[in-house]
Amino acid sequence: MIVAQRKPMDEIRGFLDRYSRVLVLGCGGCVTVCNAGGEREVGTLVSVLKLSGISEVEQGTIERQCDAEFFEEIRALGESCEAILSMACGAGVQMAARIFPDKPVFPGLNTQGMALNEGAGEWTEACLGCGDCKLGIFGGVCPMTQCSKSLCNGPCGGSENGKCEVDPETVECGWQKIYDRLARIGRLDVLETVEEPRDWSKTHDGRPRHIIRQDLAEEGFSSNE
Amino acid sequence: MSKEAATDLCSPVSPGTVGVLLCGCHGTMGGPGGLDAVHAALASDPDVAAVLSCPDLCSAQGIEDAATKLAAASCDRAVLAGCKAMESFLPGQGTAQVGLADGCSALAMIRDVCGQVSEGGQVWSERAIEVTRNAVRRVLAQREIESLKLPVIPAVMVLGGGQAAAMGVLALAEAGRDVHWVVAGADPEADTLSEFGRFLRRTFSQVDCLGCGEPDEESRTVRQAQAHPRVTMHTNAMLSWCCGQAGHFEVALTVGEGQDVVPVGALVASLTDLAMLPVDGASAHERTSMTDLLGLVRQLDEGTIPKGRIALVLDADREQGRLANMLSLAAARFLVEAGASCVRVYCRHVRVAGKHLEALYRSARAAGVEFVRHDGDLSISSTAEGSQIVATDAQLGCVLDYSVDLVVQAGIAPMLPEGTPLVSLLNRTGRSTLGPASRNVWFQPHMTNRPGIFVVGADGSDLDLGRVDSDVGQAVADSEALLGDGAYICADDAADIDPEKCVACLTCIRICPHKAIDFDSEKESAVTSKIACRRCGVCAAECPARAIQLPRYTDAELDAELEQHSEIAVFACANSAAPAAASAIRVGWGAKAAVQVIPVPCAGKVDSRHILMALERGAKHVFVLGCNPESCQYIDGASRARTRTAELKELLGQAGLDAGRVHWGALISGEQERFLAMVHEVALSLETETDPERSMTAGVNAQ
Amino acid sequence: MSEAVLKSGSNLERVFAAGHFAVTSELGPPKSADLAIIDKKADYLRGQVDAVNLTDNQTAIVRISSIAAARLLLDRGIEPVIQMTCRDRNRLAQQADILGAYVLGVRNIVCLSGDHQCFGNHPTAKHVFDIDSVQLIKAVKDMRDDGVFMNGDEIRNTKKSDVIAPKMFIGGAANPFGDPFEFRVIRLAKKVAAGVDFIQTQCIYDMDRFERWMVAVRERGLHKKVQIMAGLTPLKSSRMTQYMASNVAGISVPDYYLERMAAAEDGAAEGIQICVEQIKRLRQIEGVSGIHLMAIEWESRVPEILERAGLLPRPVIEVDEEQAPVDNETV
Repeated sequence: MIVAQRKPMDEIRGFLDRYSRVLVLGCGGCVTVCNAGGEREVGTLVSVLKLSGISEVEQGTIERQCDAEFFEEIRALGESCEAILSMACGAGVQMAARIFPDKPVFPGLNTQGMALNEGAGEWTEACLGCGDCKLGIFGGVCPMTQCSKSLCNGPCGGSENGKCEVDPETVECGWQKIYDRLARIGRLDVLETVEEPRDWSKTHDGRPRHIIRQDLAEEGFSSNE
Repeated sequence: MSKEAATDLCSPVSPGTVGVLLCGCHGTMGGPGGLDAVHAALASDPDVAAVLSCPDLCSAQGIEDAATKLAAASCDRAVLAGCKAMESFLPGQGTAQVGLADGCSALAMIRDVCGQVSEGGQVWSERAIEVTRNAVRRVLAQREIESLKLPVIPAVMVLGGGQAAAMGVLALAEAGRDVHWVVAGADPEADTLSEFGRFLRRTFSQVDCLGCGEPDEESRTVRQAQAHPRVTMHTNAMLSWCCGQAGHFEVALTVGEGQDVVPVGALVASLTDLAMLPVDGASAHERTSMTDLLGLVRQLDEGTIPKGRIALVLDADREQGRLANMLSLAAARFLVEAGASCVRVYCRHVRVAGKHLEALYRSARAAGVEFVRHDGDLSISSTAEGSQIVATDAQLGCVLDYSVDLVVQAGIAPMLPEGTPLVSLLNRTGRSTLGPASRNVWFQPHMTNRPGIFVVGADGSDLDLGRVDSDVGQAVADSEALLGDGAYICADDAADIDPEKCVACLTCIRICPHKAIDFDSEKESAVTSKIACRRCGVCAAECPARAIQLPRYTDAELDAELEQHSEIAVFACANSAAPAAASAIRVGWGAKAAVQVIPVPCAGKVDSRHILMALERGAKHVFVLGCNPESCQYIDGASRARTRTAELKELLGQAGLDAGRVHWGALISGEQERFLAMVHEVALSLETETDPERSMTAGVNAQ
Repeated sequence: MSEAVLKSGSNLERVFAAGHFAVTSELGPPKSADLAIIDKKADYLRGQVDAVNLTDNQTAIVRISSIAAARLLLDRGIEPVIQMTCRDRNRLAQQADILGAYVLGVRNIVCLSGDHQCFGNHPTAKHVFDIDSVQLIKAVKDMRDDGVFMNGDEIRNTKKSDVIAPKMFIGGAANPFGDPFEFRVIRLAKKVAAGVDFIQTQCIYDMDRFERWMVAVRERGLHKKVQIMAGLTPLKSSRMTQYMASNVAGISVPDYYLERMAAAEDGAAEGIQICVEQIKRLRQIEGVSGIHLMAIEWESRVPEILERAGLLPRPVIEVDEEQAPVDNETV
């Protein structure tokens, strides 16, 4: 799921210090599951903001901030505040800004992307949404995220003992992982062919992506036709 | 402002008719004048139905009197206001004694709290009123807790063969319990422990090894157990998986091609197959010049006695426990006496503190065994003739380089090697494991972190062989206590998860130290086992969706507690800090600042939000006091509390607030001096501050 | 003289084609617009080696660009080998720079992935890695042999003009010491399949391990399809030796060299001696067609090393017009 971490408190205070009535808005989706922006985190943050002198701090947590409908229950509350701190991922913050276009909306979190949960309190980056998934080729290990250079024909010369040159203590070489996995499933032959250059136009490099499911997006059938 | 903060945490107060029982004893009150003021103030409180004076609340007669008055006033809730002496007469908040249901009363220790206040008179009365009112709010925030009688499966499964298992099986069967005995091989008798036991008995006759005599007797126990009518044997069986909780386990056994799923109420795992530390090197050549303890013992049993130069490496990976020590010393002495040209024992320290160890050590030395105490790691490499061992002598500091013909790796790994189904059962995806090698004082050797699962059999790193039978007895007793007559009786106060609020983040499931929480896919929610839950509250503190409440310590109740607006709030673990605080305060506080002790089942129950709430309501200092993390009753609750407090302080610092007002401390039960040292100093410092209204932000820029 | 038509006509290619043991060296362009440094280093290397590599923002530290430095070397009478990483440029810039380098007179290119930017002096920069080194090798080969860009378009200015394509002698890097060992040879084979003409390895100290790698290379017949140049860096001091052993990824230094350098009174002399011994041993290994001498900030000692190793004077190849690559023709 999407993982994020709370921004440093001094940065958040920097956003909100000039206001005397703010809303801290949590999200019940991904950021609750990764213990960053759910009801509990919102409660903690609200207390700290009150202690640091902001006179009125309201709070609320809605089901998700990436869908506009869920904002209805706190719309009046938001309108009554001078500024809004959204504890959702970057997408949710932007929706909040759309819902409250006349209010300054600030992000409470730094969103880091899509990650796997390695156990309570630990996540590793897994997918950066390239839009052209080649996991089937590389044995289920993603060269985009697991290789520090996103190479398609790796590894580079900096791979040693299965570790990446960027930080041999903590970062594993993604291509070592790909090699090991392909060896396990008996598909090392894949590594002998030259992988063609990627079509980056399918990632954000092309444009902000817009996804449409035609069968859902169509307007309902009208009996007048 | 308190109301706003209140809505953060709690649900609306539950209705109830509250009677306040005011103890009239002089010991409680500073004087009759004080008592009248309190009486009057409470009588006019809208939440109080009746204020009832009692001569005392610390005698059988006095309590009976109170119960009668309460009933006469038709109260279904009560606040008992007196002093600490009440506690010994009114266990569990005194509900039963005064005729009320569990969860319907609260004690207000007026004397103990007011004893802090060095001034008498009006200040004293105000404080007494505050404390009692607070107890009223608290009792209204509580809900009645029922007593549950939960059915359990009245059968036990014993996993593993060997002496300890046989003793357990026999004891359980003779107690009337249905027992499933599961062994991997065809014969439940074979086990490594017995082999070691026999070896020790032969080589060192003073050792009374297994506490139950001769090998014949061992066999007899096994045969008796096998033959008992209540025992069902499962031979040639492997444990495939196990799920469920105490009282309701489902264990899948793979027998040949098929699989049997057996429901049981408790599990006893016999760990007689000791995991030996891996022997270095894989080549055939190296194998002949290296072996482990079991290999050596078997060789000696067969009569193949190695001669030449032999090295026993005891502490290669880590310092070994008594069993490995004893075996090494006995084996070393045996080898020298059998004609080996040179026998050396390599160890980091010579350990003789243990039954028989000193005698063994002396006799080994006398026979000619050499000891090499080494610093740090040693290196073993294979050569054409055998092996080369290089080690740094701990005393002389010089490097000793010897050739040997045979290296015996004498290390025994702690039980439960990774990856076995039993380890996954205990550990699952969580990081906290509690095996028999734990040093936690709350855990006896037969206990694991999971209620309903016990371990018996010698723990290679820690136990004497002779204690096996006492562990078996304990495991049997605990298992019987759990399974009883087929029903387990407990209060309905286990952690409660609201399925509507649960987001299936799996946090509580992973962090519960007792693995008492499972995921129910139908409800799409985490669910606690009322039998296995230890009521520590760690899950409630960590839930990101605030879906978990721990009865008796709900957010509403803690909110009510914090309405006292004390200058110093101390969240005190009921196992250590709360008793220490109580005795410290009674002895004499001597500071003006009011300190409020809020008991919690474990420091791990305290969420940052509660600490912040106390600060918001005016506390100048907040303490979270718990047990030492290595000896937390709930395994890692104290450690979590320590980390959480540190992170909160970090957060406060980042926000430009004074993190020095939040404190973590660890103490042992009743350690009142330590409590005083931590809290009293701070309380006194408040009095010397020039600005009594000092806020959280003052003085920060001076840092 | 070989009968084959040359692909690029570069001096390095001719030296190989004539069957000589080739020698290249390396030059790190300065971190400022200081031409004097280039003059000085050029003076050391002129006539002593067959070609000189110009690094491309090596270790992600900003320097004069490889192509600009290459033109400066050409003006000073030395054949350059440009290095091009995939870290700083996308495929448009890379193809444009290859065209540009070619018209400026460059005929050799080594295609690399490039060190991660975290190592350099601009760690907050965005890396590109539009394509990787293998894809770059293929791209350069397709430009040379098929006269097409990466998108398949012919390299001609208008539909009616001629195809005038850059013809480079293509090099790549190889690491005989990386993991997994078997996979390194597969990766070399991949580069050969992509069209690489010559390979320069990471600097070698563990000669035994290099020989084992060469066995695997020969088993696959790769030594016949690509010119393998063994990389060497002379050790200057015991401290440098220890640093290389522990801090540099992908370099392993055997104990015997560590001991020799530690025991030597004159570290520099011992290091040069070791380098000469290595060259002599390398010349004996079947499949090694040359050496790539990376005397970092020590270019002045290159002549001495090559003299003692018996590699001087360098061959001067007569340019035979018939063998030069034909430009104005689609292949």
